[in-house]
Amino acid sequence: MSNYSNIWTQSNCLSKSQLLNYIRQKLDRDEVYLVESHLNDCPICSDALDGLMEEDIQITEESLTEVKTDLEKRILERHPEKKITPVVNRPFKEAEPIKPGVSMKSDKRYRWMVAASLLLLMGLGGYSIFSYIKSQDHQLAQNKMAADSQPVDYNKPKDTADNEIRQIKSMPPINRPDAVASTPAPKHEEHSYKNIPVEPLSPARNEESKDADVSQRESTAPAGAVVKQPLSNEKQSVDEQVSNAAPVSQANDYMEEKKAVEPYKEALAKKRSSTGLSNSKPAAFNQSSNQMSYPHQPNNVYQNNAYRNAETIEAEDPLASKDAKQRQNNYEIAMQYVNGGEYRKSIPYFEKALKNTQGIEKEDIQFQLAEAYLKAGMDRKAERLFETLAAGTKYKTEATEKLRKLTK
Amino acid sequence: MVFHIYTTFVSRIVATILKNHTDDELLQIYRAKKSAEVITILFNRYYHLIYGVCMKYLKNTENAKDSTMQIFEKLMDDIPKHDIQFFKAWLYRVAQNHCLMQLRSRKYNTVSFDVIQERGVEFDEHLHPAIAKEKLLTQMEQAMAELNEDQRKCVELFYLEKKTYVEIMQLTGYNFMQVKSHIQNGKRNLKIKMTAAGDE
Repeated sequence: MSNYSNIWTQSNCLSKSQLLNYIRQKLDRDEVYLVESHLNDCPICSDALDGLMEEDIQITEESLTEVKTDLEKRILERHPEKKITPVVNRPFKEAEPIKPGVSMKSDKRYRWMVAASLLLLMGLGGYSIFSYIKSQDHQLAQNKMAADSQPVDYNKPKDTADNEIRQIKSMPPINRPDAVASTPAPKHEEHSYKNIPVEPLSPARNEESKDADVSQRESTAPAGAVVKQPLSNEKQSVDEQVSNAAPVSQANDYMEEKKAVEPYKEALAKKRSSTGLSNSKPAAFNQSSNQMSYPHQPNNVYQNNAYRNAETIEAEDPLASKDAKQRQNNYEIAMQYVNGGEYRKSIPYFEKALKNTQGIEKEDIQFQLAEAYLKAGMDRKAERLFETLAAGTKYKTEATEKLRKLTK
Repeated sequence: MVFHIYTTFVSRIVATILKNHTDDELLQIYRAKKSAEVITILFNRYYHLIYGVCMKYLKNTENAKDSTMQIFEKLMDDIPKHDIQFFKAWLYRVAQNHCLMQLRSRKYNTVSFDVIQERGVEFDEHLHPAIAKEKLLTQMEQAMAELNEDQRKCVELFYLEKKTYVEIMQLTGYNFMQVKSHIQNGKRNLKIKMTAAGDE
């Protein structure tokens, strides 16, 4: 019936078919004898035969088929990757085709591609972020330029005389070497109020114009001129306009709404943060401190220098910086009120700014305060202050003239 | 398409080659590769035998199927852990122990353990070739005279006269299991006597 050479498997045990055929008595005599010979020698086959003969051969065969199916399924479950295992010498290894996407070469190439893609994405992301920031800055600058180009409503007073006085009061200060020498101020205060506006037609200033240092300042600001930006500083002035226009207009809006001090301080703080103040500003910016301008105008040299001075003070004497800043803030708020024609409201801020102030700066503030008193109709107080100033050095002439007018 | 045909062709050749490997070779390959194909070939050699062993001891088809699966599950866990020298003997011992555990746990009383202990494990690979067996039987003729009548008669009929179990049943009047038992026990006693004679 079957081949004798296949009666035993490589395990030297009986195969399933041999056993089942033996039970069915489908083997010839010689085969039966060989099977029985093996059964006598092999306890596992002998026991297996006994067990297989326990049930009907049909049931046994079905059970064996079921066991085999379950076993192969279980093996595959426990070995998910069914590999073609090469023989001992692996004769087929070299002939195996390279599967796309699985081989080592393609795997390395894939890794390189992923790395390159990541680098490219990072570069593009960085460039887009940089471009976005740049465009935002550009847009902001354009918005500021547009705001600057719009006319500012400051509720200017109808009285032209008042307007003229206001222009004069807001002029930037002129450093007078003789005056500074006569009343030396503390270091930090010297920086903080050196730009307080003074009378532009001062004879002393004309005399000192021969000096080289002073002549440089005069060349940038002709006496009596009402805020004309020099050509040499045009480029710089554009930047300053951008940085100053919005906060100043905000301050004027607050003035219109007649709000209290805090909004002004917030506006000033905003302006400080937006202007960037500071050491990074060009030297030409600092040199323009003697230019005459109105505080509410875009090229508000006084305000810029006031901030610069406040920073310088803070850097040099941190303890004194707080008072100096407060005085500056008060003085600026007062000047805003003066520019808006609201002299009465400016008076308390002038008075606050006057506290703990000495030297020329004190005279400057006193002069402004006296003007405010005068415009607010507080003639008695104005007269007293002018008397004080007439006894001083800086505003002697102006105060005397004002007193004469008041007496008339 | 060509690739699929080539892969199938290669896998079939590899499977054919693997089937000619011995148990030990397959175990080595499996330890190295953890290949499902290798373990499948190895298990296919024995699953019917293990089922038969389980069936013999448990006397229940379903229990035998469950036990067979459990034994091979255990085998897959144990093969990488143990250094198995004789896989067939080891497998047989594992199957026996599993069945004994099953019997103890389920309190089966249908099998005499004496039979199992009496048989033990006999694997003498040198006895399988027919020529070797003939020589061995010739040498054992002297020892056969010392066997009891039933065992000697059955052994002589089977090994010397080449009678099958059925023929011996017809000649002696014993049933199948008696013939089988007399032959196997007589053979084992012969081996013991020959070993004792060799030691002397």
